[in-house]
Amino acid sequence: MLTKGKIRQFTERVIKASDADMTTVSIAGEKEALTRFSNNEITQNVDSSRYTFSIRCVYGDKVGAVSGTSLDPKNIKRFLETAKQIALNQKTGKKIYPLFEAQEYKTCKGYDKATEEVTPQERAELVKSAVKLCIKEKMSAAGIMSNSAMLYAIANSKGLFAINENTNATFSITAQTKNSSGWSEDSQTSIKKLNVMHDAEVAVKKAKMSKNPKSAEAGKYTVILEPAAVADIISFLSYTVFNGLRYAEGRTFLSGKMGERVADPKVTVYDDPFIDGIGGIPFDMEGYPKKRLTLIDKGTFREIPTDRKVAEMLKTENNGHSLGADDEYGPLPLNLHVEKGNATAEEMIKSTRRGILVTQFHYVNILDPMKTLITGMTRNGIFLIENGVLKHGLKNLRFTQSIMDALMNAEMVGDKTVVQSGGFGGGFSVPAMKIRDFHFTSKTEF
Amino acid sequence: MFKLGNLAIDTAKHYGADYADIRIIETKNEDLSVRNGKVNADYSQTLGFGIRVLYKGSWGFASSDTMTAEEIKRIAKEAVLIAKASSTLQSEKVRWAKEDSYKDHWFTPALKNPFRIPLEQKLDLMLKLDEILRKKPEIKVSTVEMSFQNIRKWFVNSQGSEILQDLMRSGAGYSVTSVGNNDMQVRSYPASFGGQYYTGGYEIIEQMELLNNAERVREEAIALLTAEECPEKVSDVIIGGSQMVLQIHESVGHASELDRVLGYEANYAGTSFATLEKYRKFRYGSDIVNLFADSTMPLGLATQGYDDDGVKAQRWDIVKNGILSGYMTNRELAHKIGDGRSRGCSRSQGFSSIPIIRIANLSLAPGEWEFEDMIRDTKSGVFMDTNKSWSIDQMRLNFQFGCEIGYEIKNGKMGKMLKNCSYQDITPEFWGKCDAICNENHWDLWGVINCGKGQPGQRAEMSHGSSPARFRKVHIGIGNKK
Repeated sequence: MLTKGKIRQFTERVIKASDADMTTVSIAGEKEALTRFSNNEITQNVDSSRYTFSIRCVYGDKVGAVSGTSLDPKNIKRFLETAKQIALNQKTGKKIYPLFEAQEYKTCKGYDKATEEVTPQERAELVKSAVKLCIKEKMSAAGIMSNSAMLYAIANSKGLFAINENTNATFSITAQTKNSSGWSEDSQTSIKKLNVMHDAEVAVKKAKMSKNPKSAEAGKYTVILEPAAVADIISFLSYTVFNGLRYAEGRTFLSGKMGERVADPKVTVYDDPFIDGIGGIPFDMEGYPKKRLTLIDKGTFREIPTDRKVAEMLKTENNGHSLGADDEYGPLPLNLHVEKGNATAEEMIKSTRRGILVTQFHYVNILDPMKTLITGMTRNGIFLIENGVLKHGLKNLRFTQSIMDALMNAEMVGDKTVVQSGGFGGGFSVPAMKIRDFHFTSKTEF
Repeated sequence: MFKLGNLAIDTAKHYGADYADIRIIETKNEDLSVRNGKVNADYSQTLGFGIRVLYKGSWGFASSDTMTAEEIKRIAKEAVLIAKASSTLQSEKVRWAKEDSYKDHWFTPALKNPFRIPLEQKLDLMLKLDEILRKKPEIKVSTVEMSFQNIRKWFVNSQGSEILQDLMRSGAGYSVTSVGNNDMQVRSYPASFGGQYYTGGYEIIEQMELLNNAERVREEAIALLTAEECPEKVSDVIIGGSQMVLQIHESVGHASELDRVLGYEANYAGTSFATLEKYRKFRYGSDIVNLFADSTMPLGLATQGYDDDGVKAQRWDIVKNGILSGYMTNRELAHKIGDGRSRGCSRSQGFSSIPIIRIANLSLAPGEWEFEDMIRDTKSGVFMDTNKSWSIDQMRLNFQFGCEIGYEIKNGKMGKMLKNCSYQDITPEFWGKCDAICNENHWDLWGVINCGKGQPGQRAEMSHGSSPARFRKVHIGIGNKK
């Protein structure tokens, strides 16, 4: 990636060349290399890097925004002129908040040079070792091995400059037999923390255990959701329930419920960009320092993300969750962290008389945002639990379930959290959860 | 640009590539939105290139946004190095289907270049719409959007093709969110998730009747707050055209992508139940179900002269008289179904993405019914339209889709409005229940602009045409599930 000095140089050139009343420049850079495999061979191998810059110019109460690729200084004048024309061609203005001055930030540790520099040959070797195990077990492997580096920087004409870099290495594998599959994935800020063979072994084990799956009838079950399955459903809370603007406009499940109990007391949820490996950014997209939020504290709804507009609406403070000065979507928690509990995976299974263990969900989507009602399918390893032991694999099921009701029905919370980075500041940190009365609504024949 | 393109090909060949192609892509976007009276206007322009090579039957791809001869040479060499790494884990060499080489300039027919329409004129229309949409206090959010895109794409390959394509796309739409009665409802026009999109110029926006529908859409959103909940039961359903789009996209489009069928997406987007042994035999739907792919269709978002493998655009059947009859293919995989030539479905999101198989424009052929006759012929059922939510399993079988609005049908008449309408079924069973399709008078083409697939993730656009269709005995509603 480009050095901090070169990024700063570009932003300074833009700000110097602009005649706007206020100028803001942001830069998102990404270098991503990814080796994809399926049917036990490499099918795709790519390496791409790109920078996208955005310039926001304010003239009076009107805004012009432009963006482009390539940080070539020759582009600056042309883009600034376009931004000016966009602003000056508008009849109606809007409320403009002043730019922030230079700020101080906490550090998010997430950059590792070795991870950025992994070669295609190194990725191929890691993939080969995992595929070898699947071939030995007469399984077909599909997955990815990727390494990437990302940077986000923002600067403005009031002297603010903020930059954050992080890296990510991800290995993901699905092992498939004729009628079953198993999956495992690991996402880390450093390649050194990846254990590719461990993931391959987990995927193979799950595929083996779920061979010749049996049918389960639709209905309410106690479920043990492994961390990936928890992340699949928790991620929806970010932009629905915890969207600050929707909350202020009365459009979320939580509207009007501040201070009320909304989940089981075993459930505590933070928005925390400082968690190791989560890939967070310590400032928002206006350059304001991001505050760690306790969204749900032992089951009670405590805090909501804000930017300046939402803070005004709610008569509270800006806690640094803006998605941009002109954003109309609403401030979001990008780094949801569910606090771990004290139950081991074995304890969760052992304490379950009859239930279902879910590895992962697929294609989850919202049916009714006010009720937080979502639907989706199970995938890659679903097992019946009877009298405290895993009995056999099950054919996949569709669930239709309110997320907040599920959190109210949480019986046990796992003693380990797993981090999933979502790129560009997004990511989750979640444990496994045992939940009663989880609603499966239909089945399928595989 | 062709000169730079040929430099890439020569360099890749110098380092040992057996095949190479380059796409140099310049993209211009204008995205306008008015939310509750506030204007956002964003203009973006990107330029870069991606080089793809085959070395001993294995792929390598690299890209950059620095348009210099030195960078092109560096990236071409890098792509070959990556292909060499790929070749270390390879069980079958890529078999690249034959295609003629072309020297051509293809462009989208567009009457009015949207980038030359004054910004003020576009914003005036949007602000007028916003004013109408927000006239009632129940409407808490009104969003009006307009979006224009122009892509210039130079394709050069080592087989002698030099193709320039100039693609134009225009779209607009609005949605309102009503809040009250302890509920929140959304209504959109002409379609949800950003509106309606076609390839073409500003003339498309002028034909959308945006102003004529604003009041109706606002009132429907308010009425939905107090409408009855869609009951949970087995019922006949008539699915409107804009929801049929999603039905076609998810349960036929993705299921017929040959790379999915062959397991290439097994770790991410999923596979498909429409496996090769079913080809030309499997009953996908009732006899009246005919679905065709067409990359030459006027206005279609996947309409272009050539795909990203340099294959000329075509039209072909996917489901013929209810039988699975075709797949979406590219040059790499066409031979897997015994075809000597690709159907031309290879597309990438942009210069930094590798081309993969994407759904072409895919449409349900019109039937024979007038809409009014179809309602009259339905004793008891529900009419649903405009997509709100979608979910389908990784083999494209078990789906559950939600719609913005519905109406009860009783004794051949449309009755009361229903909210939170949804339906759930298994793909071939559902298409097998199709017993009536409206005729060409009710047939429209609808754009999808947010189709995601691949790792790294890529977005693609395509269109689906359909008229309303009736399906017997479908599980509808989600009842009081929490």
